[in-house]
Amino acid sequence: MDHQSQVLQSRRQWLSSSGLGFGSLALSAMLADDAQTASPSTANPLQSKDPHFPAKATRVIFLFMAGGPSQVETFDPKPTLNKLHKQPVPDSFGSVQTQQTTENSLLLGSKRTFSRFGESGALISDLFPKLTQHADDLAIVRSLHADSIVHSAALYQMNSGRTLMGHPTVGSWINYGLGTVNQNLPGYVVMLDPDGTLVGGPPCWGAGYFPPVFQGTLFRPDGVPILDLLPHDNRSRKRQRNSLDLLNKLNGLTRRSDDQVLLSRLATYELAFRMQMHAPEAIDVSQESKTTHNMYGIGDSKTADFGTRCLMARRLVERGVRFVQLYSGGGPGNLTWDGHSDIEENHLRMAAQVDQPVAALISDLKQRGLFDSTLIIWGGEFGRTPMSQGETGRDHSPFGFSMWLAGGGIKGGVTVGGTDDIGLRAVENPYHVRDLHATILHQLGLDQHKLSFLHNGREEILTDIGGKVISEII
Amino acid sequence: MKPQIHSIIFALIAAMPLTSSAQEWAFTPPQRPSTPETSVDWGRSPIDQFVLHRLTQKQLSPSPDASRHTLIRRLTLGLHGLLPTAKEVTDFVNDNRVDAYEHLVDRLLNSPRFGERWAQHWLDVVRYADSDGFEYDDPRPHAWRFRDYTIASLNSDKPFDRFVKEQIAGDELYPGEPNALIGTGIHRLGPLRLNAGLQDDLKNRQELLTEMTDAVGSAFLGLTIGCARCHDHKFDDFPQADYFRLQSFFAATVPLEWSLASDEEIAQHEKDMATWTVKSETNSDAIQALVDKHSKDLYQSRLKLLSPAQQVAVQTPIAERDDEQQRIAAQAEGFLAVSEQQAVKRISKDANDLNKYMELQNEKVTLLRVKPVPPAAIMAVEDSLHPTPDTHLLFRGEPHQPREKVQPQFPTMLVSTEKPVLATVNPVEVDGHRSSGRRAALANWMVQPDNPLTARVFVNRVWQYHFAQGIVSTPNDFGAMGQAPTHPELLDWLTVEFIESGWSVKHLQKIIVTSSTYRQRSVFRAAAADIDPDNQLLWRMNRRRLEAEEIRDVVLQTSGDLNEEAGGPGVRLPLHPEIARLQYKGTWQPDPDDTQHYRRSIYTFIKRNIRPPMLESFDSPSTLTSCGIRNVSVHAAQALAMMNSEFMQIQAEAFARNITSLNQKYTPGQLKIVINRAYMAALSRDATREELKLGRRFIHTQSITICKERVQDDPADDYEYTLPLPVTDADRFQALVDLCHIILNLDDFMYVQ
Repeated sequence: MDHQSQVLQSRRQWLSSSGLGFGSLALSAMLADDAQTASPSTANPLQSKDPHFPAKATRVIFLFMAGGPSQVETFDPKPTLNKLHKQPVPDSFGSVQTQQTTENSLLLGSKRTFSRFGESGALISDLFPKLTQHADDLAIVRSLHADSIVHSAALYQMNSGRTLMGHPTVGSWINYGLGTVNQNLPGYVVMLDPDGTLVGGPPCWGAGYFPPVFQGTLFRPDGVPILDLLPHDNRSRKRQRNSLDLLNKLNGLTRRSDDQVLLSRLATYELAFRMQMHAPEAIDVSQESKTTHNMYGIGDSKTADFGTRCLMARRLVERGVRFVQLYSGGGPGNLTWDGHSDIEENHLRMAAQVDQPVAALISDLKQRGLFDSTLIIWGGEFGRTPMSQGETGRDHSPFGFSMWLAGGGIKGGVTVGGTDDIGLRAVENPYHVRDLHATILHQLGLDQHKLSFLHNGREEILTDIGGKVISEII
Repeated sequence: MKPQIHSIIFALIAAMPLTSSAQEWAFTPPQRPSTPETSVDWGRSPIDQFVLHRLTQKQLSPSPDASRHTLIRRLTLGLHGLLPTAKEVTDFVNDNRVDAYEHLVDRLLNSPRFGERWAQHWLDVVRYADSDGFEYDDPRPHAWRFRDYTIASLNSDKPFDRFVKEQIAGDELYPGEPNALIGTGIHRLGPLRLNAGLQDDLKNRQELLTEMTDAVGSAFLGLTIGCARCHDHKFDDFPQADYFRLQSFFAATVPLEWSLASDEEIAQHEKDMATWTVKSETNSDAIQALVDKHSKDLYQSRLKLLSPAQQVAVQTPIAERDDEQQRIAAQAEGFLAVSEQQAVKRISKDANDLNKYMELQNEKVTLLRVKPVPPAAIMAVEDSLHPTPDTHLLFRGEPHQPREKVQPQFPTMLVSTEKPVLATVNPVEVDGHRSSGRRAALANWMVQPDNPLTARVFVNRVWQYHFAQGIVSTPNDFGAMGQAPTHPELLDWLTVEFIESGWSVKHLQKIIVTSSTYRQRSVFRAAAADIDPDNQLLWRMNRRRLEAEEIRDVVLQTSGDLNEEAGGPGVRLPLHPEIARLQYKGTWQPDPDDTQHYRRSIYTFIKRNIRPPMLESFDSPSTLTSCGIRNVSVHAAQALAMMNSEFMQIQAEAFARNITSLNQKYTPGQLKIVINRAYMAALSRDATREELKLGRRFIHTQSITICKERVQDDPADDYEYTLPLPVTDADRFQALVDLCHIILNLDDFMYVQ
């Protein structure tokens, strides 16, 4: 039986007496640690579940470089492109249309210098000096491709597998498949760049047609991490406790013998109450040593923000949060990796914000023995054109771009796939976004076809028509 | 590819209870079946006979009528989405007429509140929103007319076939009737992707056509046909060609803004906009100038920190830099780059400029508030592409891979084979131009007597909204992926009754809610549950959790804050700044008139990318695809919103104020009155003795807690805790607020029994 049928069947039994019919996925979030309630395995959608097959990774940190980092400035050196600087795209590369450029736009060479690092000799540009110490841990994929040339649709695709809005995102699928181990924290946490809003907005971490319990919870980097976590008037815990006790008692007077759903409703109030303590603790980086702060670059204004969020990510996965997503870049174009006008200025600035924190995150996870079970993904919604936009910028290109993965059973020190000689299209072992998603699920022990959800008459899966696992990196 | 298709098929088989005969049933025009004979004496209408027949087959018995308190609450919530007032409850409970219940039903059906509630269901189905979605998520200033049109159509009991025809082809079938034109807005309600830069016109057009085709499939035919765009539908007899044949009915259709404004109004608007634009630009230029000034200063001060070589390099024009300078400059420029945020931070350190900056920001907000409203218009469609473009089957749904040409044709599986399947299309004259007549043909077919789905699908929806589950439990899928009907004969009987009544939605409502099946108690019976755990055969009434908008509305109603004003443009509610910030473009300006914030949820502005968190947590629809049935989920974010949000805390206090007098005394007798008032307002009944006892005890202990904290918080007060606490009536009032807040969280408040 497929995953949803199991969930539905057990849930159906559980709901049978509640009067909620098929399709009404009434869910209890939090029965797991509440002894008074029904068998948690049948009731709690976030109950930790076994994967389909033994997993390499149990949690994910997705470092999302919003705006679209350029492959030819980061992990995909193209000497030919530099030679063809300021020339039109040779006919042999075919015609192309992006948001702002065509094949008639002139090519722009890269000013970056690439060197080989580690025993594997991985080629990494001078944008990431700190990351190079982990060269042998990275699996660099240079041949990703996606379907949209605009941010919002591409963000939706990288997050949900579809260029349209309204589909569950990767973190939702993973929580749907595996649940989460810490019932006092959300299983899917998203931390945005404080510089501004992401182009695609909330659907980027939405649950689509899943119940909302599977959607990403936004954590704020300072103060109270979750909206409405604390009472608006900041009343005392004691006063809240009294109120909850009254709620329990009054509900108890009218509760019918068949009310599993209502019991689980009550459990959510208790969970919310416990979360008030657990969530702030989870992101309280003041508990970390000075050395750790320095390692993440928290003392340096350039890296302070992303460093803090990387450290929070480590604390969250350490506490069992299943999926954490951090965005670098938010708000208007140039505050993201969207180097339309000056790729050099943009990427120097953006890379300087993330290089040290990302390197620190890898080191830190290793020190704590978490690296092997934590899948780290680095990349944006697409890459950039080898053609120039204006004199010095690059436009969006979904036709061939680079990302890297590390930890979580990923083979380090490999570089797979390749783009053509100017870095325009993925030509050697091309991998679609759905292949990346298939690989993520695979590392978590989830079968992309078994993890399905019947919606409006279609058995939906994250990878839509199915993706191929990137076998060279696992 | 192969293995994955196999595994999908296995998954489908596991979840595929609809037999081919059931599917055949769905695609055969309904006939009125004879009412079954039953030996048990129960029931008021043929509906009950059908239900009873199925129950007795399984040795089940129905439940008796619920109490009048329960019934008036169930009916008022079911038909109005609001609570009955204390007086309405008492009047009904004391109404001695034999047809007191029928009188109540008539009163509710004839109230304008009926359309306001039931329009929400239709808006779910047609994925209504007031903005485009995607990156820009621009507002749709005229969409609300479709919402008001839906409400008015329901309130006037417009025949449903006419309602269908207006929406599909109001422009062609009823030229010159603005109301019918508003109906065609349905074709534009879906998400709309806009982007800057070079356009892929074929792809953009295909997205519009897909939205129109899929919506008609889901809303009227109850078929999810979207997958057939890319491949033959796996189990239905819905070939890909049928999808594009259906799409071809829209081949000439394009958006139309039909102006309702006079020439003077349009001219005035242009003038107002010009003035406003100048002001707005002056404002943003001034803001930019301030930011630039500080960016420059910051840049200069950073520049001084560079080495002399770096300074020279960055100050050399790019074209004149040598290789070494290029390298140095590249390194330095990252450091020199000043973000707007940094510049703003710097402004905040300069008292003068900060003042100026804040004033400008305030002015910006004011300007947004007074932005001239676009002149009135109808969001509609028209057929104005001449000649009508060809429609091709698209390989994998790809607009750049057209295959054979197709003609307007109704889905093969829905048409009996003896009839010609090619649609008869006659061009019509609309507003002085030729319209293809294709949508008119589709609309007429949709409601012709032998269409097996349109009426059935709608009747099933109405049943579902009352019973929390449909006779077909997959309301948007009567195809092979759907569930088999629990009572096919009942659905057919209701459908024929509905059509013969002249497609009267109110008649349909009335026969359903006056049935004994509807009036049953919702009380659980273990023996019955053993036989029919899902209550598919309706041996009791299903309990139903209030929908997101209902929760908000009844909270406002209970607190006495609900503003019952009807109609008009969507009201922008105040959003937590953090949520408002999540929109990428523009700013969120709540309606300047606070009383508007207490309008019913149906009248609020629905922004696709940002749903108010409380509504979202209670499963408000995404508005991205047709929502035939809502999730009913239970999770912690709901508890956070219900207990901690500013909205709920304010409403709890208003509720408490609403049931107390200015100099309220808190004697046991007075408390009993107040608690009973609270129960009547929120739960449509008096408090029980036990509830009164718990309530009084809570107010006592909670007011002590509140008093203690108040005294402790006051550093000037060195109160001795051994003395009796000085609990005041203000403390007791705060405790009552907490009690009211808890009442708004009770199961009995959130669920209809």
